[in-house]
Amino acid sequence: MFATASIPELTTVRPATASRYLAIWALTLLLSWLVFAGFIAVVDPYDFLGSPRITGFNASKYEMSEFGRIAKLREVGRQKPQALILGDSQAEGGLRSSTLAELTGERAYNLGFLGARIEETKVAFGHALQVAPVRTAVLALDYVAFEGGVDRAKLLQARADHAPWRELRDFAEFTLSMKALVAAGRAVLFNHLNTPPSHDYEGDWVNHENIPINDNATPVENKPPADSAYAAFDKICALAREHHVDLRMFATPVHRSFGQDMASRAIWLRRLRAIAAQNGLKIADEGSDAAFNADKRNFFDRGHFVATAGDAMLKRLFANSDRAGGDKTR
Amino acid sequence: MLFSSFSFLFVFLPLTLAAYWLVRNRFDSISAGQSVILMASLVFMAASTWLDLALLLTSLAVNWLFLNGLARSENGRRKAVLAIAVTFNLGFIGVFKYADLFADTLSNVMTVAVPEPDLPLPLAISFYTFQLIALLVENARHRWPMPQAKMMALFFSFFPHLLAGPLLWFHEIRPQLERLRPLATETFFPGMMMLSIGLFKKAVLADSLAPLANSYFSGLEKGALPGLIDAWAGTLSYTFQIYFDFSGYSDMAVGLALLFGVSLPVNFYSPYKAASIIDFWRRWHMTLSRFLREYLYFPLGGNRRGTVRRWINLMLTMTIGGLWHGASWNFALWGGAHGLMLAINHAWRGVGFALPRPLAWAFAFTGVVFCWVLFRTHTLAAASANFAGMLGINGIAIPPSYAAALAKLMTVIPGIYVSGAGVFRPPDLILLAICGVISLAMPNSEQLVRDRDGLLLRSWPGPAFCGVLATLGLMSIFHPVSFIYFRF
Repeated sequence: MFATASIPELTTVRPATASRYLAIWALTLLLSWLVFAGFIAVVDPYDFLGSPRITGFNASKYEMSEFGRIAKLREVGRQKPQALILGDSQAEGGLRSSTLAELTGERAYNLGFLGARIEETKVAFGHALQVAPVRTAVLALDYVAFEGGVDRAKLLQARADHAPWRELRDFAEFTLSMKALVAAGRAVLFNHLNTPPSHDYEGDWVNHENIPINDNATPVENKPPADSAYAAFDKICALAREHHVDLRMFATPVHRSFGQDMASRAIWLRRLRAIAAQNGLKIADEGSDAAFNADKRNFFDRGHFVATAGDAMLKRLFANSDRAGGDKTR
Repeated sequence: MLFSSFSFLFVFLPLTLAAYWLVRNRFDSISAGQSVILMASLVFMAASTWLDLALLLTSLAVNWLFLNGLARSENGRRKAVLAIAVTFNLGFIGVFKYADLFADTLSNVMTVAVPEPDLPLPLAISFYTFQLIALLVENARHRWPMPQAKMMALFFSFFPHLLAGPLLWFHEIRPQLERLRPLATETFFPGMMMLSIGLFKKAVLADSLAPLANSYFSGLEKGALPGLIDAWAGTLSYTFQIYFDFSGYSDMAVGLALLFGVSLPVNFYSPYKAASIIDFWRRWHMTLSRFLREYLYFPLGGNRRGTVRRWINLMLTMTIGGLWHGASWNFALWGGAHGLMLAINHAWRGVGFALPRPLAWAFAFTGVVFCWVLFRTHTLAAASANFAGMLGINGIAIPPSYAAALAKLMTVIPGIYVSGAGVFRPPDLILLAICGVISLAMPNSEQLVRDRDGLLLRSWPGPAFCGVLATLGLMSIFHPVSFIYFRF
């Protein structure tokens, strides 16, 4: 009834044949890797190498949501924006750089990225200040972005600093890996089908899926904010002050089905406001309006507000300040 | 250290091969060759944690003393020594692997808080303890000569099979280890082919399925109620993941051993092609099956004490075999379910009516797939939700982007609803289909490489094909995922 696993004989191949076949195996391995790497380099799905963009082939990039942490760091250096949107996917998907540009009269870029912890936002902001003439920044404060992300921030810092080992590893991963090969294949297919990319040129996450909100969905786990996150937030405020950046901040909303612990959130916001006040800054609260949080039309999924709501938040943030119509060429 | 990692493939393995070639091929020393592999294996184990290595060496040292005791004892005393030795090994694994389970179960049964020791699970403890018990029993049975300490250490620590098998008997591999061969192209070539196939199965197929299965089952544990498509896709993701993960590991182990001129036994032989549960266990983790047969099923009486007793023996063997996989009752349940299916299979055979092969295969495969749910979920609630999903009780969820295209269908078929959470997308389903075709319609690694006149060894396209598989495998090891069986 059970098996008998036997030991097969050691080999059935003649030595001369084995040597020849081993050479074929090694040669194919090398050649196929070169072919795959060449294809990835030509398509350049992550815009890592800056390969020429050909319409219908590789002009649109589709890997921004995953690659945002690297692509956006590079892009902010290329575009040199004066106004920045900072935060996690809520900022990336709910705030539009075009609206910020209108309100400030400055070139704007959305430096928010998926799942960003506040420690990472600090690194991204610090990097942007070094490579771009930033004058204005909007920081969307999401409670879940304060769970703690010291290790992630270290990784991002290594990338921002162009640490050689990190650069080498990124180069290998984004030009020689299976992930890059699949991404390149997707890029060619989607460009051929003229599928809109997930992000626009200004870094906004535009083509996201609208996921129906289920009022009875399981609430998310509310992890308490980490001390490192408060420290990173303090550093962001300090950086803004040091570089004379007009930093405007607001605490973000989520749909009520998200199950955010409002009592913990209130304590968190109080502490953030105290830190901000020490740096002469204020934080608006866009997340405690129960009626807003109950209205499904305000959210494209239960954790992300829609861009029209984001526009209104930006407008409120810049109300009473005469910033619009400034010199866009600065 | 994972086989599918840069450190193993580009540092550890080349250095070990180079050192072995130097001492075995250039200086023609078998003893030095054994020492090189032994040292490399200890480094391999220590790369996990020093504690793992210390526990392995401690276990080996104590069992070596027991073997000495067995060799010097006569019949009656030998049985006593054997009993003490087996008890020690069961106690050893019991403390490190099952203590938390016992404490937790006691707490629940007695409604009194029993503290859990919360010890770390030592790497490979189930594998080497099982093999040590086998060595003790076989030595007591056959009065074999006392093994040399070095050979014993080499056998148990031999890095290709150290962490997750194949499970071996010392006596079946000992002749090969005692006369270790020099590196030679005629063994190196099939070894590399096997390694390439294993790497592809693990790094490309299993590791691509891992995020799908993990995300699905994590949602399930949090209370999600999956729709029909999700439930089947999620369960099949794990079904194929565990197969490609473990058989990929076994292929790599066999391939690595072949590089050094050692032939290990077959461990998988297209298990999902099986047309009965009996056949499945002749093809799945074959080296475990023979250990279960020898050391549980036969001692319990096997099929010699009547039909009912045979069924009970099957249930017991498989339940204990399930628990061997992990210290959690869901594994026992998984094993018990297989035991039950085996008993039903035997009873059906007794009726004498054979189903058409496609229908028999469908029954067997569906049974195996349903059982994987018990293996993967940690709570009965999650398992029940999954079974309900697979039976269509939770309806059929479709992704929001397909809502418009399927609007008409939704009006015709009740139970179709739009959901954004945890819904499998067409690319995921394509991946599952590819895995299904590979595991159900393609020849297996043994047929490709090791059977006489193996398909991949006949002409140049074979090695060229393996070269491409190796490339794809190497391109997939940037974020290696641990082997599932490492946890056992």
